[in-house]
Amino acid sequence: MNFRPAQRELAPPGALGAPPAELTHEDLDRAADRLRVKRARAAKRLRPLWLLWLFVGPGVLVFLGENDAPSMLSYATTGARYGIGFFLPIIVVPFAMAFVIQEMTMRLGAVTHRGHAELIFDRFGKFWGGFAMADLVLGNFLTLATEFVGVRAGASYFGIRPAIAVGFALLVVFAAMLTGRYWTWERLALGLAAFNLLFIPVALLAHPPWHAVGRALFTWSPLPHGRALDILVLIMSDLGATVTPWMVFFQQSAVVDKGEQPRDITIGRVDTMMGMGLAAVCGLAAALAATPLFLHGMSAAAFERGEFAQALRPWIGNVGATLFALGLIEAGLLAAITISASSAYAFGEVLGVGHSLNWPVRKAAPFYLVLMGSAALAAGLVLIPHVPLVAIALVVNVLATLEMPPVLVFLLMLVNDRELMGDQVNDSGANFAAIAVVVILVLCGLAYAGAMLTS
Amino acid sequence: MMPEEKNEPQKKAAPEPLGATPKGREELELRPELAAELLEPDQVVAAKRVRFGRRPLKPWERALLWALRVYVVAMQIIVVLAVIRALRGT
Repeated sequence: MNFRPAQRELAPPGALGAPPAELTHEDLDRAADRLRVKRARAAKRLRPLWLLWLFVGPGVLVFLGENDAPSMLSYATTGARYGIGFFLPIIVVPFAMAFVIQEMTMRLGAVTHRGHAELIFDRFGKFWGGFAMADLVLGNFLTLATEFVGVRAGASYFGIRPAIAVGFALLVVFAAMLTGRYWTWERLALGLAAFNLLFIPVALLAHPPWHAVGRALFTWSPLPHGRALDILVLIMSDLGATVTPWMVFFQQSAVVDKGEQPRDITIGRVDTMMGMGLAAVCGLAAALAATPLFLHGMSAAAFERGEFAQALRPWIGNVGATLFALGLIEAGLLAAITISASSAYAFGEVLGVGHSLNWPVRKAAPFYLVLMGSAALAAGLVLIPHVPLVAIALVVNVLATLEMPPVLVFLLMLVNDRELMGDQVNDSGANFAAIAVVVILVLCGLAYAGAMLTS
Repeated sequence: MMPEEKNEPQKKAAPEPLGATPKGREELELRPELAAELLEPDQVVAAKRVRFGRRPLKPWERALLWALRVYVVAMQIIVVLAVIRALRGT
């Protein structure tokens, strides 16, 4: 076997240079995936397209998964409260920040073949690993709950009762994971992710003044008016709608489960960039779709529970409102699938039990139990009467932004670790960009704290 | 040299040779050595059981991680305060 420098001291006697041990079910499935890649690389025709089809996955899923129900509601709230102006570039710029982070994550997974939680525990020990996991568990659980809130809100437009909507969402999450094959799970999730694009026709139906959209994107104006705290919360919320801890844990584990290798890094970047582009357009579309509420002087406060679809109907019609509600349901469903997978991967890696979607359920019970359990608990929370769902939804994105700096510092330390990464360590440009993201997030957090304490 | 070969246009990049490529998952199961060739040695589950060793933290790294830990806890308290305020307001 081939051991990296960081593994050599811990390798069992005789393991260095030993022939490969018996292959598991997981290995064979992954080898079958690599076989497809080998065939695509040998193809004489349409090779780039075939490779793109095979590698599109973790990057697109992580970005469209992060365009989740609270994120889309946050973008819609932005459009409804402040219209076309300063907040449009505020929605787009964090996607560029997220790309810097997710590219490092993808590279780390392709080179080390290890998940993020596993690497933090291995390299920095249980103490720091425990903190990272505690942040992840708290953030993921609250975010998962808000996904079901989003599904509930979207389904309410069609008159579907909350218990039925949430139960259906839970069934979709379970059905996706029971495929016992990463490839199938990924394709199902990608099929669902395509519905995120529904926000684009909704934005078109809202007929936004495109010249104003272009001007706002380039000039960051007109500036918003109102309480500093409200504006900061919305900025934090839009940032948290794009840059969150679960994305780092999820994409790295998915890259590992997909079997990506260092030679796949370039196409992994294309996958990540595609995800970023699609998610930025859909996020912008959600904000633009809600701008009629601002232009007609409607108070956005009434729509924070997700009644945007009903409120927008007079301006975007039945079709637009229906698409908006469907988009909200999709956003919640996809994120529920990816976030519960992120929790399960992290637990499996830390506990050292099977943690691959290539395992059948009966052979990786703890992994699937965490996956199903986290989704079921979050779904259950949403159905408890009098639980402050609005407060949870408001807080989730802000909390994600606040918890991000330590995650990024661990990521930077790992991706600069030559014993793990070899020649694929970060260059100075990537380090500068990542440090800039950490500084921006910390400054936003401090500004939020200051505004909160003085208001 | 055959005339057909002479007239063949020059290709920009030669595709990767397939070699002894198995037909699918079933053949990989029968011939695991072919499956092992498709994976990197440290990509195999058995290799992953060997954990990476600890990386000693430099003093400034330890200080940075503690500072960020304090930051996160302080911010979480502020978020809880925000939630309480929001709930009182509704």
